[in-house]
Amino acid sequence: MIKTWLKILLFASMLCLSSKVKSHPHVFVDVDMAIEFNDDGLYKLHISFYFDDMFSENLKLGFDKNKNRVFDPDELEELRLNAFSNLANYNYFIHFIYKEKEMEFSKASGFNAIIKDGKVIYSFELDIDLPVNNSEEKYRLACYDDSYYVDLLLNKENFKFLNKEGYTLSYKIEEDKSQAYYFEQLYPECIFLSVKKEL
Amino acid sequence: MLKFQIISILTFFITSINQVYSQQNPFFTPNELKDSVQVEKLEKNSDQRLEKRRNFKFSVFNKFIKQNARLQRKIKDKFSTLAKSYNNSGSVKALVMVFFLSFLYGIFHSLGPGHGKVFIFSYMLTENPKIIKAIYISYLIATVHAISGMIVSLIIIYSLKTFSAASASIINASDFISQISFALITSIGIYLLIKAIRPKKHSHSHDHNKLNKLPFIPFILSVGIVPCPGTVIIVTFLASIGLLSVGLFSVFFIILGMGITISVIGLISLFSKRFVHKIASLKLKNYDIIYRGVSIVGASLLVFFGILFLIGSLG
Repeated sequence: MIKTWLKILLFASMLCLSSKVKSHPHVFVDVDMAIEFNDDGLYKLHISFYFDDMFSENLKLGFDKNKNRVFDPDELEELRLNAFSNLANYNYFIHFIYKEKEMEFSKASGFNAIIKDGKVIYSFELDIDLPVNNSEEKYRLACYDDSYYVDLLLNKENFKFLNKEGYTLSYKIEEDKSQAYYFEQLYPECIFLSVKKEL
Repeated sequence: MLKFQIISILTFFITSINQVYSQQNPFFTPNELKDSVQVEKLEKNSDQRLEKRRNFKFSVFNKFIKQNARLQRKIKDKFSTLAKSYNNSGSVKALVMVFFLSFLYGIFHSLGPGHGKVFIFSYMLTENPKIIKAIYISYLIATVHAISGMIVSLIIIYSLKTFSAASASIINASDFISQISFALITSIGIYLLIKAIRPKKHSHSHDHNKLNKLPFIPFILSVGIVPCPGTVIIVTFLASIGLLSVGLFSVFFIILGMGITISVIGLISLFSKRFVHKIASLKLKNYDIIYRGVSIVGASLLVFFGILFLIGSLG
């Protein structure tokens, strides 16, 4: 009896403990990711964010000023400055770990935003530029928001590699306990990647 | 008591301002960082963060938080589809479902952080209300919380127009206000702790309700006034697709749902206290010590959380 009650109490305490209001998931995003290779090794990350209906409506309301369901060039630039560039402070939610160091992305390129079936989709690229030789290298790649204001869900089936010819690679997607976040309670889905250049 | 009321009212204002302004959406650029070059040059400390995390490999709530998030995701998806369907066809069935989903959203959204749960939990430990009163208090908090969110939504809809504008005007004062707010919550906890520790002349079976009595209305206002972010999202979304009146009605259903979650938390705390009393009452000698012990735990929680968040906001 006491044990059961203690369990319930522990659970309730956890619900209460996390009282940092700003940490809610308020925005829900589906994420597509692709890793592009070049002759030297890992070259770029291609990322797409598919926003939920509600946040999409907010973005449309704020930035599709002429309501033509397209972000025209001036609208797109305003959107980039006001509702995208700040993500640099969140490392674009990308956690790319190589040799136990997390890579920092100071700038994104190729930003674009479209409206498809009423939903807003962002796409952009991040430079990785990590050379790969014929010895196996290991990388970890996850996409999550430390503050948990945004809940990001990786579309596993859409994860892919571009220009991978000449490389031997293998990967698995599973929770990474070493990256626990949000009061150290959430384990992100992580891509564990091994890459080697073919001789 | 007067001193406590003054502190309560001050906290009420400061926490409410802080909570409104601390809803920082990572996507939106705060005003002072509008220059994108500046944004991209900000320092980060990811290495330190990774170092800190590497040692932590145990989570009790991983599955629960993820499942709750997935559920909220589904509810929001269904909600927007139904709202749009009602908007296009005027289907009564879709409207009823919108209200039902508002109710569900109220339950699951308030399972997340915030919504005054830490305070209702501590309150029930320091107080000993009847069950019906505990539920009543929980619903009053939910009502103030959701209506406050509704007012913020109306301000956004009529003056600021978009979330981006609202969010972009933030954060400057937020850190400083957070620190003051947490310091005041800590002071309330310390005040209650001293009251609980101070010896009282009473027998074991009566007068307990007077121990650590918190002012009823200031407590509800100070906890509930923080605008409910979920309500803001629902109402502004419905307003943005031309369904403002449906949005305002949906607030009632959000309150119904949210009240359930807050009540459950309050009752778990209340029953825990009663359970401890029941065990303690078997040993009459220890009853007073244990009774006061529980009240001290309740007050200590406020001090603990106050200091915890104060340190967090300073870091």
